[in-house]
Amino acid sequence: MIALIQAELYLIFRQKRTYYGLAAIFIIELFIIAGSWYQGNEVISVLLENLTRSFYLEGNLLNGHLVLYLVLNSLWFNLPLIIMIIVSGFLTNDYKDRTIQTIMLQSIKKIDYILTKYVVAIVFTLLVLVFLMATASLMAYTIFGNGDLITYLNGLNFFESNQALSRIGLAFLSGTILMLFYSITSVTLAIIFKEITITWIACILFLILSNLLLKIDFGIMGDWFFPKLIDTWQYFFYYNIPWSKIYFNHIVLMAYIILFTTGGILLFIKRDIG
Amino acid sequence: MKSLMLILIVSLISFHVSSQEIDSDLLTIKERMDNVIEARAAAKLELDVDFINMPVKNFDLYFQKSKPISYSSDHFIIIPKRGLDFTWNELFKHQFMTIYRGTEIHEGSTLKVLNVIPLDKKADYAIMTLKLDTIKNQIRIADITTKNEGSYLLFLNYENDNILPSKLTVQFELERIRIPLNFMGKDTEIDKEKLKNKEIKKGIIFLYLTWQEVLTN
Amino acid sequence: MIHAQNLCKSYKEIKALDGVGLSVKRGEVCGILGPNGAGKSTLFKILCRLVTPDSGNFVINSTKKKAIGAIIEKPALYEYLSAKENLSIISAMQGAPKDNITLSGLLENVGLPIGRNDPVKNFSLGMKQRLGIAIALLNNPDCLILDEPFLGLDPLGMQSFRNMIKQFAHDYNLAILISSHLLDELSKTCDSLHVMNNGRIIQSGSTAQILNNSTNDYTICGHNLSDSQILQKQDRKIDGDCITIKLEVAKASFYIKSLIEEGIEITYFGPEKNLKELYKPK
Repeated sequence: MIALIQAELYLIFRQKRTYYGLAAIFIIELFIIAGSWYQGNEVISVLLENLTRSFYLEGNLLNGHLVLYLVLNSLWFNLPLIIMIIVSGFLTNDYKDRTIQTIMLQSIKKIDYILTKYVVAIVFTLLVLVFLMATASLMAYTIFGNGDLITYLNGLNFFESNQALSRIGLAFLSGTILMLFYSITSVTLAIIFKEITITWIACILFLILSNLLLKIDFGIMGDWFFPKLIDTWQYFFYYNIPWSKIYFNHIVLMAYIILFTTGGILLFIKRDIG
Repeated sequence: MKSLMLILIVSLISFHVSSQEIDSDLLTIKERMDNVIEARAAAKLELDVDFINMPVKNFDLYFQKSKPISYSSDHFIIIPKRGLDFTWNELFKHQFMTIYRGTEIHEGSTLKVLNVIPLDKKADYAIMTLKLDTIKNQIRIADITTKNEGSYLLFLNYENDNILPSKLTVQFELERIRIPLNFMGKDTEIDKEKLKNKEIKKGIIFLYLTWQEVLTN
Repeated sequence: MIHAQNLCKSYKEIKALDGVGLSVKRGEVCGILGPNGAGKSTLFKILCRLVTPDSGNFVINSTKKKAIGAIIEKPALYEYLSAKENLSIISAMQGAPKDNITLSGLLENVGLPIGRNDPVKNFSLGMKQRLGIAIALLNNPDCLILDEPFLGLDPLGMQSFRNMIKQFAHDYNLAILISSHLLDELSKTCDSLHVMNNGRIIQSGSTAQILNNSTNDYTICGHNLSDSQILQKQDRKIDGDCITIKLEVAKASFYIKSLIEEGIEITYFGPEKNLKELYKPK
């Protein structure tokens, strides 16, 4: 199976659409940074306007940490959308080009094939997050430097630079688990729908519904429902980090990853090819 | 004769009033404060405000006579505009009168209570209540009502009989503070009713000062 | 080598296969003739284990890791890779040898140029078919299943393809199963034939036997056919220099001999296959 994974990764990086996807992510980062550059101070002034009436505010809040925090907010929709579109294509393009048939006509087991798709989805997602973190950090800290981080979550929170850095790092890690969940889901949707456009629509719908359902109160059952887990990375920006909640959310999210993967594999094996 | 008596009485009253305008103990404190030409301190600030979460901030504080206090830090700092004027610049800048209100015991010390009323319309406080330690010549408590910036209560602690405080505690109110929603954060669990009702927010600031350089006359 | 029995497969209300059985030996080229929708592709997909039959069974007598190499419908290739890269990546996936010598040998075997590095999307259909066969031959299977391999090929391409198939059966002792609706090509390529329609095998046998069973007419072309006495006695259809007559297969040799004796210059003498007769259930 290692050979299969290596071959799949080779194919992914030989295709232009992979680089278009990475370019899209990079362009989004550039937009965030440009927006911060041109309007960041204004926005902060608006945020803190009422405070400045009663307080002196000394220091630079428009810094690399804040810009990275804004980049992190692309975890809500932009980044998962791009990831889901690219990753689902790993399978739907095989259906479209019928190369799935070519592969299945070789001495390759169905379970190995589909497991490879999931593994490659995970590897690719991890690479994307590393790419995002590396490029965003480089640009943000080079252009905007260091400083305290301000967020508004359960109050106006100020974090000193070293704390901000560790929180941002942890938030990226948490966001990575979330992106893995979306990535796995997109493969499972690709197994269900097979066709490229329908799978894209399903992915977009899944993303929109997750974001909408996040706002609904499901009571205690909500703790287990996956839309309620998609904001876990934000907990790292509460002044007092709710660690038990974070651990719980991540465990449940990983359980969903396993569940969706297993469901997808079983469905794929059961179905005929072609 | 009658008119002469009237003039004499009015003059006496005026003299009495003018001689009672500024309390002598307060003047002593003012003189002590005037002796300080410049001073530098390492400051530690703790903020206890309902809607603000901020770690303890360390910064350098620099005071020069007749100039506003300045602050410097590598980190971001948030400093209330009111309440940290322990040099009493604002108080002594404008003409005022004092009215003796008796004494009060605070932390084992007997404090002299004075009301301070500005005589200058330019003063930005409406009324002040000062509680003085007349033995050590220090202002220990100040209850200040500003014209536009709300009220605050200031507690000052000193090392021995120094004129510059080593600890300030400021209790204050913030009016009409609007926190913009949905900015850079989660937009769930926002209780708008709760926010509306709590437009007036209270907070406490603790400022610890370690004076490193004090230059006096 | 391949032995299938009573295979059935339905898609909702449509019965794609209804009790299909066949056998193919090593070194044999076996054809499946049938119109579009006869069930040929479904049968092949079942044999290649892409599709599960509703009932029936089949056996592939092979101990190889890859028993069957196949092209189902059109060859599906990675269009953005070159021919060698396609072979290399698919070899790598299944742990087959992907050294340059092996891959070049495969390309040579199917008549593709070794040095060509442009993406496969630039290839003609015939070249893609050849590459499809090369991929099917990866990992040295014992059987080759080719679904409509002549589709889209020009006459020269078909001839070349035919020769290649026969060579593989002979040189590598492969059991080869080909499907097509082109009777001519199958008749020239296959040792045995199964005729399929509406999901069923209608008739099976040697190619010659099947063709004979469906031959009622012969077309004869020549310069002076009107001079022939024997032809004038026949119920005939004239089309320029050619005449089509009703003639039994057994009498064909006699007619050729008689025409030669009459001094007729024969340029063509061939059977006309009756497809309706061919596809009629027996």
